[in-house]
Amino acid sequence: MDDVIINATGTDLVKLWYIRNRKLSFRRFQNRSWIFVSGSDYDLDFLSGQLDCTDLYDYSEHTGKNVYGEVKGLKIHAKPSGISDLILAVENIGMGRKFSIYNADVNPILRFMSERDLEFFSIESPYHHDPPVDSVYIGGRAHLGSPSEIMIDGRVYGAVNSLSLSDVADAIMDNVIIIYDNKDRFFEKILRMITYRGYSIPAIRGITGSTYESYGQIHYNNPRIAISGRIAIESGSFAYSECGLPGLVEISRMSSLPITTASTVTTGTAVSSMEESHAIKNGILIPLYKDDHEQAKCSLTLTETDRGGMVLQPEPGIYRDVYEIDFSSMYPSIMVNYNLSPETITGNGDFEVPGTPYRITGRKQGFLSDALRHLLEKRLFYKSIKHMDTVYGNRDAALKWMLLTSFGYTGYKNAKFGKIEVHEAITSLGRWALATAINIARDHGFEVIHGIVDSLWIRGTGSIDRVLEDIERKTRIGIVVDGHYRWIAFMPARSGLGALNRYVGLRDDGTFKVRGIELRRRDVPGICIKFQAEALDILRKCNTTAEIWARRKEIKDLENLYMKSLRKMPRENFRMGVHVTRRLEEYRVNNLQKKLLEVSGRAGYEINAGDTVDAVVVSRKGGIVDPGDQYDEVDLEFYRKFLLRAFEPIDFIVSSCGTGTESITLRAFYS
Amino acid sequence: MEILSARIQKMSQIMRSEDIDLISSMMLKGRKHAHEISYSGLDTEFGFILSILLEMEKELKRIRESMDG
Repeated sequence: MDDVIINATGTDLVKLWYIRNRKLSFRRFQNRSWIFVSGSDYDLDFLSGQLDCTDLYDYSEHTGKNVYGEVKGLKIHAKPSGISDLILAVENIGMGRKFSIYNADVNPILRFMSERDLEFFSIESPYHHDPPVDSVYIGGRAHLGSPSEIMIDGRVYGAVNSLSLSDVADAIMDNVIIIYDNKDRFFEKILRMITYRGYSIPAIRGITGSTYESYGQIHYNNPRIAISGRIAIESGSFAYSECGLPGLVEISRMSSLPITTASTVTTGTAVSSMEESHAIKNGILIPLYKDDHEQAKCSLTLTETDRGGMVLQPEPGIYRDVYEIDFSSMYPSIMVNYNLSPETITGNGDFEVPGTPYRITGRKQGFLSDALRHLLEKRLFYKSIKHMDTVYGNRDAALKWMLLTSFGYTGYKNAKFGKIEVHEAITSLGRWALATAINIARDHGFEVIHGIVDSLWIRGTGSIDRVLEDIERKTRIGIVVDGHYRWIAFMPARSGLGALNRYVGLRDDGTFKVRGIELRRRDVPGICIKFQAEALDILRKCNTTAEIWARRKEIKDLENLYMKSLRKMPRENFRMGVHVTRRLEEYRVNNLQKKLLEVSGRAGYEINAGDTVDAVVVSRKGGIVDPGDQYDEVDLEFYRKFLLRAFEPIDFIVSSCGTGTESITLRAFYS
Repeated sequence: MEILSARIQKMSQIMRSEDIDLISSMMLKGRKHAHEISYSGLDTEFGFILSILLEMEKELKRIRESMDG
C-alpha cells in the first residue's frame, strides 16, 4: 500500500502526516504563497511603485480569471504567515476601495493540498474503506462535573484511579486518532490527573469552548484539546456525532481540510472550502470580499422571488395506503442540472426560471454547478449503496449534510461564490418542481395529502412507477419512493389546522416514521417517550383503521396504567433535557432553566449557554430542579401534565379511526 | 396572514360571545389555504376571503349531498 496523507499541520512549513501499514511518518515542505490584486491601471501602477519602495515582496503582472472572466492585476508573493500584513498594506494603499484582492484568506493547508492536487485519506475506489489508522475512543461519565467512570473503546473502568488513568495514557501513546468526550471538560480533567500522576503523554493544548447561534438555536461547542503528534477529535462535534469517523474522513477528503479542522468547522464551511479547493485546482481566483451585490429590483419582484420552499397543509386525520415520494437532493440537483451559478444568471439566458425574471445561460459551465457536481454524484452513489456497509452510510450522511448547506450558502452574505439571485432561482425552481409533481400525481389518479419542499405524500390507485418516471422526465430531478405506509396520521396543530411536521406513519416493514411528537424530543421526560413507544408497539400490529379502533381499550388501559403507576416509576424515567440558552443573570423569569443554573451553581457544576442538561423537576412551584441525585422526590403534578400531553397524539390516531371512514376532520375529533 | 389573524383576534375580543365562536371558525377557514395563497402570490386579504368562501362552498356541498342522500 502507498503512503496516504491523513493530516497536515503548519503554515510556512507544512508538515504532511503519512500513514503506511498503520505506521505514521512525517515530511516537511516549504510553503510559499501569493495574492492577486486587480484594479485600474493607474492604481496598479501606484501599488507596484509602493511595493518597489518596500522591497519586501516579489510581484509580477499577471492575468488571472475569476468566475466572470479574465482580470488583469499583480501577483504578489509572500509567506502564508505574512499574508494578513500584506492585505492590510494593500488595503491601506488602495484606501479600502480601489483594489479587488483575491486568494488572500484561503486556509494555507487547503491551498497547499489543492495547488498540488493532493487529497487527504485518498482511496482508489469509492468502494474501498479508508486507510487503516489506529484510533481510540476515550469517554466516560461524570457526576456533576467530576469524572466518575472511564471508558476506553467500550471497556468500562468503574473508577478513576491509577489503573484507568495509566490505560488512558497508554491509549493516547499507542494511537494516532484520539476521539475524546470533553463534555463538562471531562477529558481535560482526566488529562490533568494523568499529568499530575506523572504518566507520560505528548504535549497538550486546550482550546476554550464557545456558545454560538445557528438557525435560531443556541449551541455550545465543548472545549477542545490539541495533542501533539496526534489527531484529536472531540466526540461532541457536529460532524463526528452525525457521521462518525468515516463521515468525518469523507468531509476531510472532499473539502481538503485537515480532519481536525473538518471536525470543528460547520458543514457550511466544509462546502465553502470544497468550492475554494475546486477554484484553486481550476485556476479560478477566490475573492477576499465578495462583490456580488443583490441586483436592484422592484418590490413586486422582491415579494415574488424572495420566498422559500413550497408546503401544503395536510388535513389532520389518518390515511391508508400512502406513498411518500422524495426528490433526491432537490436543491443541489437543481443547481447542478440547471447550471445555476452567479455568472450564469443573466438577463438574456436560454432558460427562464419559472416565477422569476431571471434567465440562465447554458452556453457556459457554471462554477458553482461544476463544483457541486462531484459532491452530488458521490452522495447519490453512496445513498444507493449505504445499506451494504455502515462506512458507506456514514459517508452518505456526511455528503448529505454538505449538500444541504451548499444551497443555504448561496444566499449567505459572506459566501465566496454565492449570490442572492441564485438562491432565489433555486427555491423558485424547487416550488415549480413540487407543483409539477403534484399535477403529474393527480393526472395518474393520485390524491396529494401533504407536501413539504421536496417530499409529497400521495395515495391512489395509479402506477407509482409511472408517476416517478414522468416527474423525473419533466423536472430533470431524481425522485424516489421514500416509503409506503399502511397508514399515516397527520396531527393537528394547536391552531386546529394540520401541522406540517407532526405525523406518525406505519411502514410496510412494520417500522414507524415519527416526526414532531414527544417520542422524538429530548426535552420531555422519559416516561412520555416510554409511553408513546409502548403505545406505538400496540398500533404496530394494526393494518387498518378498523384494527386500530379495535385496540382502543388496550391504549386506554395503557394510559391508565401509566397514570396510576406514575408514583412508582424509577426516578430515571423523570429525567428530561433542559436546554440552557443564556447565562444565569440574563434570565428574567423564574423558569426551569434559571432554577437549574441556580442549583448547579450552588453545587459548583458549570453549565454553559447552549448546554442541554438532564435533570429531574423536584418541585416546579418551589423551583427545585435536580441535575444529580440530591433529591428523592419528583413533582408528580408537573409530570402528570406532560404525560397527558403525550397521550394526545396517540388518542388522536385512535379517535381518527372511530367514524368508519378513512379520515375524519378535526371538528369530528374535538366534538 | 398572521397579522390579519391577529387583528381579527383583537376585533373578536370586544364582540358578542355568540359571534366569537363564528369568527374563530371563519378564521380557521381563512387560514386553511394559506400555503396555496402564498404559492400563487395572491393578495393575502383576498386569499383569506377566498379561502373562507371555498370552505363555505365545501360545507354547502356536503349539506346538499346529505340532503339529497
